Amino acid sequence: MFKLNLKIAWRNLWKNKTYAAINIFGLAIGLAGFMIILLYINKETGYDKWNPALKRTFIVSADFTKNGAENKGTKIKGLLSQVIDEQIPEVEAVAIGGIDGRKLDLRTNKQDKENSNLFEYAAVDSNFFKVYPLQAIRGRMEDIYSDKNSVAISYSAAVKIFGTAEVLGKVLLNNRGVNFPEASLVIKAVWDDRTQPSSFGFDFIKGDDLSAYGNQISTTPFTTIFKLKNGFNTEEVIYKINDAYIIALAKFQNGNSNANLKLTKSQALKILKEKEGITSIKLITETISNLNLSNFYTTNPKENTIYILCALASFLIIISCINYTNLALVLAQTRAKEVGVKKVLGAYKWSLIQQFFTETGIQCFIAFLFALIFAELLLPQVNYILTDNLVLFNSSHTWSILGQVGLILIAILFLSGAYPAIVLARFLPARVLKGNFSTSNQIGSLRKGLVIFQFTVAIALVISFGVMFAQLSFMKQKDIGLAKDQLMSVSIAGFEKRKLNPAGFEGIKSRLLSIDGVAAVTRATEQPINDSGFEDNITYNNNTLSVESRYIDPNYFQTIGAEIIKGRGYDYNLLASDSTQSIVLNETAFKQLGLSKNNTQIIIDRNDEKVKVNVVGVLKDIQAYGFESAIMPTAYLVSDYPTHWRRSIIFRLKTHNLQKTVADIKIAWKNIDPGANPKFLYADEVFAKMNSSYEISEKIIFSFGVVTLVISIFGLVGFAAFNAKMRIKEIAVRRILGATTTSLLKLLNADFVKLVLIAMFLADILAFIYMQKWFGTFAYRINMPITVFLVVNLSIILITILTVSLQSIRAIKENPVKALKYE
Amino acid sequence: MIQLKNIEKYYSSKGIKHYVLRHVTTTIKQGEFVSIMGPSGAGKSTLLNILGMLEEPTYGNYEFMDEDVTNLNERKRIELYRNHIGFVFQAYHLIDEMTVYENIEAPLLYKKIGSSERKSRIADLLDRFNIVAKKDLFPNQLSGGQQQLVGIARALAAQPSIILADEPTGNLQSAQAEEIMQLFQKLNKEEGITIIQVTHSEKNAEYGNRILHIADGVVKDDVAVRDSVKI
Repeated sequence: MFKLNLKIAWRNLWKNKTYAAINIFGLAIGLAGFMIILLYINKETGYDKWNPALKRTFIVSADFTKNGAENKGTKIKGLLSQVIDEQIPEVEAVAIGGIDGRKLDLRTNKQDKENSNLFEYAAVDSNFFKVYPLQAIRGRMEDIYSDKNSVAISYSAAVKIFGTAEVLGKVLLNNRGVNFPEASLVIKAVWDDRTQPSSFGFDFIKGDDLSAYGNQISTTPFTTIFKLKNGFNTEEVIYKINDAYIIALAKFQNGNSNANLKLTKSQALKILKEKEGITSIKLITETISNLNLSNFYTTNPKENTIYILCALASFLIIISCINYTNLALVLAQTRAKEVGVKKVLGAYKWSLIQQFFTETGIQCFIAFLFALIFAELLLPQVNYILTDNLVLFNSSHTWSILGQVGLILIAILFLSGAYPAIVLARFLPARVLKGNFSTSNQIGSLRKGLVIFQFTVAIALVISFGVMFAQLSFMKQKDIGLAKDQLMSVSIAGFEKRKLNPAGFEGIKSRLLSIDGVAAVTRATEQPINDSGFEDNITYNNNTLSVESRYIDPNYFQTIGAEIIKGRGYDYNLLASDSTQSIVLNETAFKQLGLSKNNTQIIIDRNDEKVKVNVVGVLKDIQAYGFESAIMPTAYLVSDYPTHWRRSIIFRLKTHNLQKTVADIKIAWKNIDPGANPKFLYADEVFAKMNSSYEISEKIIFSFGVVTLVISIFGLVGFAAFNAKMRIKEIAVRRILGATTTSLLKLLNADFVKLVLIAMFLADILAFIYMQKWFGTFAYRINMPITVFLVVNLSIILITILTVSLQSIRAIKENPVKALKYE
Repeated sequence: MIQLKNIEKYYSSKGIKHYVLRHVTTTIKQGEFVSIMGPSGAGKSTLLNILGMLEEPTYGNYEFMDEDVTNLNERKRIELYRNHIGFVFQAYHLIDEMTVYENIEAPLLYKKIGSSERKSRIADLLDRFNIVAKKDLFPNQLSGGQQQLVGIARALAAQPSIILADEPTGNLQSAQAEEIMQLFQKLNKEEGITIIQVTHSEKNAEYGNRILHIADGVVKDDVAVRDSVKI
């Protein structure tokens, strides 16, 4: 029976090739998208799950308010680890170290210095592996403690550097900058970061000798992690640690190390308030196994991304299922006779339902195979967009992914197959076998609802993409206050050369300017698009304003292409007076300070001393922080060369022969800054990077928008074609009665256009709300682009009419005699 | 074999009853060949549908093989289809996606008959109806008469005790129609299969041994056919 069902299902698919292809293709695209998202989710949720003990392993830090300002940081004083070690027996082990954000500049002895790579590393104490039980696949992890040049390396890094995991005993050279000699590191162990993914993200681990810190250890901040013994109430222990630390901290700040002195928590808090100005303090304890998805310090946890992706993936699957259900219902008409006959031959309803499920099953399976192919083909593209490294096959969780997809497939089978199967199996033979049977009225409204849902999602996504695109092109085109093209900067490494005043820098400058293609050279404490790292307070009329201050050379404004809108910029000839008595403000600072004209005296705080300076010029605002935050009030100063090192050399390049110019600069740089490994930064690239997360979400929304739209239009094609076929008799009659082709097209289009109009209305509202929310993150944004809504809506209507007309035209052109002959 | 008592069938719309059948009372014995005749809209097909349990009467009592089947649940009804009733349709209603062989096999599969038994029965039927060469063809590759032969073969496959035929020759040319009617007569005489057919044609009705004339939902006449018609 099953074999026969399978055979008939196959013949049925073959007979309705087009519809089957539409179904399968739509489902395959949906599944492929889903698989890719599943890969991403599996990867992101898979961090730090490789050992069950990681569930009771925690990272601790402190959140405290001191003198009215909240202090957050992932590190906490070494005192905490001592407290835990001595007072909390429930903790199995505690380890400290520098775990995140540390970089090693490494090369093999075969590479030269320019080709070195940066890797993250952790420096950890001897307890580390008791708390964070990484297992070595080569060597022993504990060997990293044997001397200070021993390291462990991750499998990925080993393959990246050496092309193999057999790297025990190999040596890497660590560039520690021009001011220190290179160190050689010996690899003592390799751990597999594919089977033991870690949210810390380091590729190297070094032992850290804590005795070097001496007495300072209690006050030095460390990343602190600890593992709880099995079977204790986590919250109670964390509470206990919290109190113990506060009391210990109070005692420590009080200078009292007497172990017999007992303080209560409230006494301790009082001491902290009086001695340190700490008004509130709380330990932040987070489970390591959840760290990758969300932690206290991120404002945009990956959890959110995963929720959004899950929503998009489910939409995709649901839309594909809707397509399937819709087309199956459309085809139900032709299957009705079969159902009737089988029932009078003695088939139970259940066996018919089974048969229809078999058919759905075959299509799902074929779709699944295609989905595997699509996913594999799409992955490089996706990895490029997400700058990730997802693999479908040959990854440690290929099987679990395929298992999950299998489950989804079963869900799809039921979601898309159940309704048509039940509808079909319910047909009454007496009515079906009489002829003239029409299913269209019974299932019409459901079908319409499904089409509306599909198009609502698709259109909303397309509009969202359009709005994002408009905002992003606004961001790319907006005048940001400086000419970012051909603006390059590099950091000078030698300390002496950073300290130079403009006269001292003149030698280097003229050497660089002699290179053909360099138009101008200037210096600043930082590259133009970045945080300057300095703040000053300026006062005018008792109005004090905290401004970001940028310490520059006099030709800075001309070089970066900034515009002076009032007064003048700096001048080398006036440097003697400018460096002590002048200040240039940006528009924002000028306005916020309440100034109305330049050449006004204001006061700047300099080392607890109030200095009078003259506002000689006002600069047009420069958007140095992207578009999320408002422009900071900024002061530009040419003073103070010995302490505010101008370490960033900024080049204005000519447009022609850019590559040769850069190559020449690199050659010259070797003489100017010997031994350094310069990294050249281009302002336009730095700027583009600030927008990269938005570009990623734009691309994601674009992909999903296109895919859902394609699937929906696929569904529409099938639906319209079948509709025309079903109404062929009606069309023939109307033609005989004198209808024109246009009027018939209008008739056939009307139903679909109505559905799409409703969908559009809903989609417009949804997209408007969602985009309004999305705009909320921008300080500089465009108005809601109504043209995007108009363009998308109009194109969708056009596409609908085109699709339906193309599918209907054959039925309309058919000779009416043919259609009416059979009755 | 079949006993109808006071069968009525009507459809209500806006409180008005539209009668399709009224006061139909009749008995059909094992081995009879009954033709139901009457003008269009007389209720012939409805009566046949009620006999085939495809429709339920609004009122009245229907006994099939001494069992009250007026309100039968689906499972029991399907048991009867599997074991006792074969249907033949005017439009043949073969399943387009199945070959001739598979169409005939279908009822046997539902009846859960073993594969060797199935094979021999189908081979027998194909042979009897002279359609062995056509067994791997699909219905749309056959002529109307051949399709109806397959339809009858399919109805016979489960070895039913009664065949219900709704205008079996309605779509056929007269030569083919005659062939089918002779086949029915032979089945009735030689194998004792009860046959009830709906027909428009006096000539076809002559092949049977009893005619029910229906007009406006009422049995007007119930006559026996003289055995004068030769095969």
